[in-house]
Amino acid sequence: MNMFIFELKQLRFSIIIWSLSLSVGLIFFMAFFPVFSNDTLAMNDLLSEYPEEFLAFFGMNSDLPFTELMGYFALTYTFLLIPISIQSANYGFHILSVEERELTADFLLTKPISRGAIYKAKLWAVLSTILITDVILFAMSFASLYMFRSGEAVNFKGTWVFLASMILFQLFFLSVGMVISVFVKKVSSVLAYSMSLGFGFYIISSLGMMISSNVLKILSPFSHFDPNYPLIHERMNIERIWISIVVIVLSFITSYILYLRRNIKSL
Amino acid sequence: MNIIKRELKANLKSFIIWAVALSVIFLTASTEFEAYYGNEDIIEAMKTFEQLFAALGVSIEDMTTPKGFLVLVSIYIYLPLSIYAGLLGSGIISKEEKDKTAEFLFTMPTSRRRVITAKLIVSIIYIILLDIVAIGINIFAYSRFELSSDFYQFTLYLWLGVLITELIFLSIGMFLSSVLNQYKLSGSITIGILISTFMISMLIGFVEEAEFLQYITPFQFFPAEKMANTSFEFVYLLITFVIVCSSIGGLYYFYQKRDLTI
Repeated sequence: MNMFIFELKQLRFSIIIWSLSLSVGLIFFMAFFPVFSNDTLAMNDLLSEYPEEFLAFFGMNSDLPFTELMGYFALTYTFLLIPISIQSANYGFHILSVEERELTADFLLTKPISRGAIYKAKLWAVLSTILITDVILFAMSFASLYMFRSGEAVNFKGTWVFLASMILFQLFFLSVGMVISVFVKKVSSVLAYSMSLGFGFYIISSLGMMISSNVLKILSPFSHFDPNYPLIHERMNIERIWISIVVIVLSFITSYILYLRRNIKSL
Repeated sequence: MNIIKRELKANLKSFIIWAVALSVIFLTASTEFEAYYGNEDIIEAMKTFEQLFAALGVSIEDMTTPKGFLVLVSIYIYLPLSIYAGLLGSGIISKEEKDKTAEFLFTMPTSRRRVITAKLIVSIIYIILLDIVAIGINIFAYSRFELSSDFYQFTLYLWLGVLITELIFLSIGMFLSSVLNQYKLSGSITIGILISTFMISMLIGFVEEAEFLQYITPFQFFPAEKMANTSFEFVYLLITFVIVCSSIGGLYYFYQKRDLTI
């Protein structure tokens, strides 16, 4: 319990700053919707005339054009998922490696407590940080949807399904971050790792979208959790998401085993 | 000279990792391009959708030529290279404090000014090199297709455009790590600026009303569409000049007075 509270306290500023800036980004994007939706009737007509494959090339679809509220919301989240992934990866890379980086491993690991217990406390701490961020993001998402909807209907169920699936998306980056951090010798700069992970997968997914390559789409969680899918079908994209779930489970198990056996450098 | 050598060595590993990863991404993109290359059907289809392209702000020129395709995917050259520059800039200055080597370095008989100059030179060498690798790989990847006569000229301008964008983020990163009390924050803030300007740039692409924001996002200063028409706009060059000069000036000014954490 002490460790759990300590880790949460360590991350307190990070949670506040991330939640604040994600909320600001979300509201900033959504605030443009009322202005934007004024002159989109022509665009809507245009979009409905084109075949599906063609629109897919530009990451659009006629079921959910970005000129409508829910489509615009999906568009906002396609970009917002980048910083969200980086935040989760940040915590993943940070949490198991921080003692070695800040030379406090001697202190923690000589305490009469098993590594398994340390791992669990740390895991609960990062899971809570992610949940706190999510609660704030959920509230902000609905608030901004209702604030800027300019008369259009909000797809309540679809939004819930999407936001719920986002937790899995965050778990993906958290768990992969944790497993990489116990694999490598030393995580000298957390940010360099989490940036490469987040942006790397984003680039893979959007290249995959642009050139409609299925291989690239299967590789990247950004396309498993593409916000368009739950907002159109009101259910998760299970055919893709199971890949992420397998990765999450494997990563947590591997990182647990590797952390127990890790040769942690002391002073 | 010793510091330059030392820094070149210290940053070589991450440079190689970046270069290899980028090459893989660009080569993958180019193999997918084969499907589009010279495909009459697609050209035909594009023509009928001219209106839609205009609405999206994409020049229909022809996505079936290497040049057009490169313009379309160019953000994936700009974005990772800017990230590299930002991380390099903030990392190269703050790593002495992070790795607790500041004490060692700054008790040497050399001034802080010279240390900074050496670090600046090394960072510029590396961003130029990574830029050359990125554009070079792209030229190599598309050289198996028939290239239009202005392709090489376009890649030269693209190289310049990417380089200037990188310089902006490099100087911001270096400036922040010299001025912020907490060296840990500089990387995060640089990346925060980078992500938010990237998101604004994407927003501008979709929402015309947001266009007034183009002066604050470096990704809109020298984008590939403008490089394709070889147009460097004076106002953006001016903004870049101001950002880079004031950041570098600030770096020298503040780092000389910096209270190093030891």
